[in-house]
Amino acid sequence: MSPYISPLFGLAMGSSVLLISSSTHWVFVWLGLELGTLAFIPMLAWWHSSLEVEATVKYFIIQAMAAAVFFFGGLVMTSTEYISGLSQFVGNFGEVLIMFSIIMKLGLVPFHYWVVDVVQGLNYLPGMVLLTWQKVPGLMVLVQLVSMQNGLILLIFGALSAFWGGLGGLGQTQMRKLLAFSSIAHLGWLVSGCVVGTMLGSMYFILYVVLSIPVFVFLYILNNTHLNQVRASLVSNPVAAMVVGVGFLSLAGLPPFMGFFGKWLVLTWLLNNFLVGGAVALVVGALVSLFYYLRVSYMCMVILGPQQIMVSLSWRKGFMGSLLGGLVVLNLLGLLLVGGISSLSK
Amino acid sequence: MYHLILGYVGLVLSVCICYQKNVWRIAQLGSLLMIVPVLNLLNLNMFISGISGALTSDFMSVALVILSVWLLPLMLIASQQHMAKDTGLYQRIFIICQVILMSALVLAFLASHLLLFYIAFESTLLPTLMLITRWGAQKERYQAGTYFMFYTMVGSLPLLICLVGQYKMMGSLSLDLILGGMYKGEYFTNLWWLGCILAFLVKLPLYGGHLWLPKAHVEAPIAGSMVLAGVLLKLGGYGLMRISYAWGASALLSGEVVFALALWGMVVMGAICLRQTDLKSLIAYSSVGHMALVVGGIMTGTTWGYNGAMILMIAHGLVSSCLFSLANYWYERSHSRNLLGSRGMIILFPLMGAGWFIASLMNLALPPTINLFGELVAMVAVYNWSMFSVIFMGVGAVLTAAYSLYMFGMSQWGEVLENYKNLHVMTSREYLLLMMHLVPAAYLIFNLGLMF
Repeated sequence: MSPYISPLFGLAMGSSVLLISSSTHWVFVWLGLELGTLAFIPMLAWWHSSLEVEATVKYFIIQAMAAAVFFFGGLVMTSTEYISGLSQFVGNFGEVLIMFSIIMKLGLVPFHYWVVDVVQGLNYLPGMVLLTWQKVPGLMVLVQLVSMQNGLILLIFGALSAFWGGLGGLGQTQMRKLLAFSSIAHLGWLVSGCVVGTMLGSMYFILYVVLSIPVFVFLYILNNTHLNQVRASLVSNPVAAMVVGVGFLSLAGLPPFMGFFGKWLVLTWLLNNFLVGGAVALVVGALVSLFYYLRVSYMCMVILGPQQIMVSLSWRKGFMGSLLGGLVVLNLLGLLLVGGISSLSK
Repeated sequence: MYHLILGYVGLVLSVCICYQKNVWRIAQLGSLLMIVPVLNLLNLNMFISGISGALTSDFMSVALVILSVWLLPLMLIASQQHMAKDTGLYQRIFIICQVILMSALVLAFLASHLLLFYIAFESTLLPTLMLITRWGAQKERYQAGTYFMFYTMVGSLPLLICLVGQYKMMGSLSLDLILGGMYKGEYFTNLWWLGCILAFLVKLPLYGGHLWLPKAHVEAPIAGSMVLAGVLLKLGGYGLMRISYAWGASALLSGEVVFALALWGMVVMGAICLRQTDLKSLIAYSSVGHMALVVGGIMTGTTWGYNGAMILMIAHGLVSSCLFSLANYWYERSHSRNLLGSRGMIILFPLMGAGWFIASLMNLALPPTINLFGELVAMVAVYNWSMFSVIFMGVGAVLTAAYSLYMFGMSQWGEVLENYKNLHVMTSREYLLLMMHLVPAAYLIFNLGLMF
């Protein structure tokens, strides 16, 4: 694809979000979703490899199907209730259809299979955009749909998603698949957060984006796609390996890092609404997924093979200082929040 | 008390920037200097020696904070030899890892907000995991690290849920407020309470949740073993004490399940110790046995129980750490932890044999030592709870004496194996380490009041 035309697609992706956020009629929401998907499709197949094209086609089919279901649901809504705003729909079959289409677009658990396959085919950077920015339109629709009836379904799917995201990643050795499963698990937390508080969902989403971007970017720099390749990266680029290792621990939600604080917030709000079962299910999911996060960070930071050289090479040093800043700013920020606890009212 | 945390931050910075040849000296001296400000906390006034921000030091935490601050220079002194062959960068990372671990521990002991305590409690996991899996000896260390992480996380995530739920119901998790007492049995059902203490029971560890500990000890380097036995297990005891002090433990039905496991664990661990062939594994299992009595003492919910448990924790922190460092002297020379091969050590290293002798006797709670006082006080409290518990405690005490003598006899007496003819001599660093363990333990005999 010509690089000159790519700003156009970026612009379309941005304006799709604006369109969704500023429209009250479901047709324009649907239009925004379609615009976002179609503008993203050329970026997926940027390098024209066969794997990427296959992933793009899969992504397109799923998204188009979800959009069709969305459109059908909207038609059902309008023809039965004569209303057009998304947040006005209460307890109608069309609303359920719209919700399922959004779940399919996001890749929440009953419709999550495409996420793993698509991300596995993509390069890291399109994969990063797919798992972060491309969730924004769907989430914006989802927070409008949350109501008493939908909330329970969304909570169940969220808990299942947190659990399944952990379970699916257990046997994986492909880094991109691991990241996809991690994204599914985090989506479960996110959706549960959306159900108990709109702002909570967006905060968790921002946290997830901040945590996962360095992981994606440094895996891209390391150019590792398999767990065994990550093992050697401590020698070739120690700082990037450390960032990936710490980033995975942060995604796992281990306390000193920032990922924990998102989990803490979601748990607090769930328990504030007396949803102990949901909290327990999410925590069980987090425990299962801890296993593969831990394994990746073993590979990144801990394991030294017998042939690995343990001298510090001089050419690495300038690189280290600049990147260490990124690590500190992005992940250890959570440590500062510990100080915030002291200001909690007693 | 933020100056303690700031002191450790300064230590990390100075380890980062100092010359390579000075790195160990600076770390050891700097961490030793930290004992000066922390001793100031001993000045208890109405059970509390200091409140600042989110930190409070009261009669439960002071002794344990001093113990943990004291153990950091010992850990650094102990691991100097085994880190000598690593590169400078890795030596610095190793030291920084330990300093971060210790500052998290100090934060956990001093936290007056239960969620801050939880965060600090969990923050100790990662540096410990790094110590075990990065600097351990064999490839089984990954399994040991995973065991360690999962046992602790499975235990502690229910604690997070329970704490957050309690925050919802009580409106506060500040220790000075909930010390007033919980509503026993009203909404804190037994299950809720069990969720609160599970993390600490796994950390201590109670019999049944203990499998991670021998694995972690066997695979960890000496510093990891020392901090695990010396302070990390006490973190569990401390949390249990805090929670049961606030909740009131003995009123609840679940307390008796814990009692049963603790009493049974005392006997079983003594029996398991008698069959160990691995020196470090033996000391690790003996820790589980000792901690069982700590659980028993705390679960009685009486002053005697708390005091006994606290004395036991301090005594065990010093003595088991000493035993691990003694085992490590032998391991660094013979490269084996096998009890069958380590015979006649007293002929090779007579003065170290004296150290083994004193540490073993302290471990089996011989009369003038603080271990005895701790065991006596805790046993009286448990006996007061139920008369029949004396059967288990009696058998447990006999087995403790038996395996301590077994450990001493197997390692010190007998003929030296043929291949151990040219071992390195003991260095003054190692004698110093031995003294720094044993002198406080001996001094505390005359000042039992310092511990509670």
